[in-house]
Amino acid sequence: MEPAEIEFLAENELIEIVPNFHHGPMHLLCGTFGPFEPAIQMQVPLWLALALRTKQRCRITPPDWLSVESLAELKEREESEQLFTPVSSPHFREIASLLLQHAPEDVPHSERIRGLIKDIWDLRMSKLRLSFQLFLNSDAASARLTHLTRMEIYTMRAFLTKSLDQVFKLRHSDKTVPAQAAEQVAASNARTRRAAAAAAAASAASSSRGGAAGSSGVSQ
Amino acid sequence: MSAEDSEPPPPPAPASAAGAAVDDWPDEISASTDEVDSLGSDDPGGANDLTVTPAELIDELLTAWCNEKLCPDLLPQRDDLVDCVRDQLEGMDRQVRLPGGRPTKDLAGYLHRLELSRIRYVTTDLLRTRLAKIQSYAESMTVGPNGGRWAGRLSKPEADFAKTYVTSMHRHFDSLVLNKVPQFLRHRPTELEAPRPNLDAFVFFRVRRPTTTAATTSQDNNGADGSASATTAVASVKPAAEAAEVELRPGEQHLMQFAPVEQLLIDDKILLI
Repeated sequence: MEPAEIEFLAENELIEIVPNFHHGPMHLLCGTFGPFEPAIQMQVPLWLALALRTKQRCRITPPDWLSVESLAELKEREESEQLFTPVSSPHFREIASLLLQHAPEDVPHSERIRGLIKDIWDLRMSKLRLSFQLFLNSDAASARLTHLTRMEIYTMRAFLTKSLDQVFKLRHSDKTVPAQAAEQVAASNARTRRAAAAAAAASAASSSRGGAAGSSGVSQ
Repeated sequence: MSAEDSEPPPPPAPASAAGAAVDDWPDEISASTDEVDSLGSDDPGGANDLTVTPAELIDELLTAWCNEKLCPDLLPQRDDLVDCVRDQLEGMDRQVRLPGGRPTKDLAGYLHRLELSRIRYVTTDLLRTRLAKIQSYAESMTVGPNGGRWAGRLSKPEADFAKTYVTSMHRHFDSLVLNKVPQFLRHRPTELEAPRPNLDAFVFFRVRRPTTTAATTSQDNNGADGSASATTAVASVKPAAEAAEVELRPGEQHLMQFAPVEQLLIDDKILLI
């Protein structure tokens, strides 16, 4: 599943808008929205809000969690805790980036919010990388990752699933092969050590002329 | 509201009133329509009809789409769902166009058409994903009288497509290479060599209803969560040697191999993410 498709799913989330036109209730397939009255706040799906905003027919009210205070608090919690903390929306990154892209005037302190979202994302990604490294190194068959969002899972999915596949195949291939290989390596190491010792002893014997007893002792 | 809206809306009036006509679309699909009968009812006679709102239908479609995209294997077909959605789309499309087929110029019409194109994308992508999987594994799927583990998973047109695809691939191999090599080399790969989906692939999923996975070994789970969670940001990690039945609570998200959870996915107890 591509990031664009994850964003597509995020666009089904509801969001508050303030329209600037009159219209009766709109019976869409995904639900009924309206009536639309100027200056009266209402909820619509995000794709509808963005379409209206692009046509200058409404103002979008950012969700409560998309404020400097809430995001700073979330960032502090992420920094202090080792495990993932729950996020206010399973699509926080997508919603934030869509709003900042299409309606930056509607989001107060948009630059500060952009920075905070990026910091939170980076913190969570570094935790994710660390925990998946530990997961791969452990002999684990399953993991619970309840507070991860789809977008975070996407960044790891391709690498992680392929590596886990390889580890699984290696673990379930013939289990006697590694032991035999280890024995062979040990045996060849021993032969190498004996040959080196014999060569050293031979050169010592030739130089000292009396090392027959010594060389036979060393070569055993 | 629902009593009035269950009647079919009036045909679209000329341009100025087209917006109003669109908004008379019924809130609920009444159970008497043919499309809904096939949705979940076991009774072909229609005595136990299901009433489903369009919103629930779209939710189900999105779930089926996510599952099909993220699943390594082909899931059971959802032709009933797709046909129902397609009928809804066509009906709504007729509403937002003027007699003659030109689109209306008002805001409501534009928004309806936007929604229609979104839902149409999901439907076509679902079918496209299924066809891609069928194309990859067509040889395995058409072996045997019932198609093995895929019995019942392909719809009639998909099964016909699989057979036709295999036949034309074989004909292509024959005419390109096999008919030109010596007789003793003219054999096609056996069934065992045909590509099969990787059922041991790891998948991420969210739990919708409480359940447990199938046991992978006979050993009991010693609750290794405590030690593992202290060291990893992932909440709990179960060592492979002790992996047994895992209890799944609603709202939790897990990473596991596909084979033990395949039946849970088909029973709609989990959702792939």
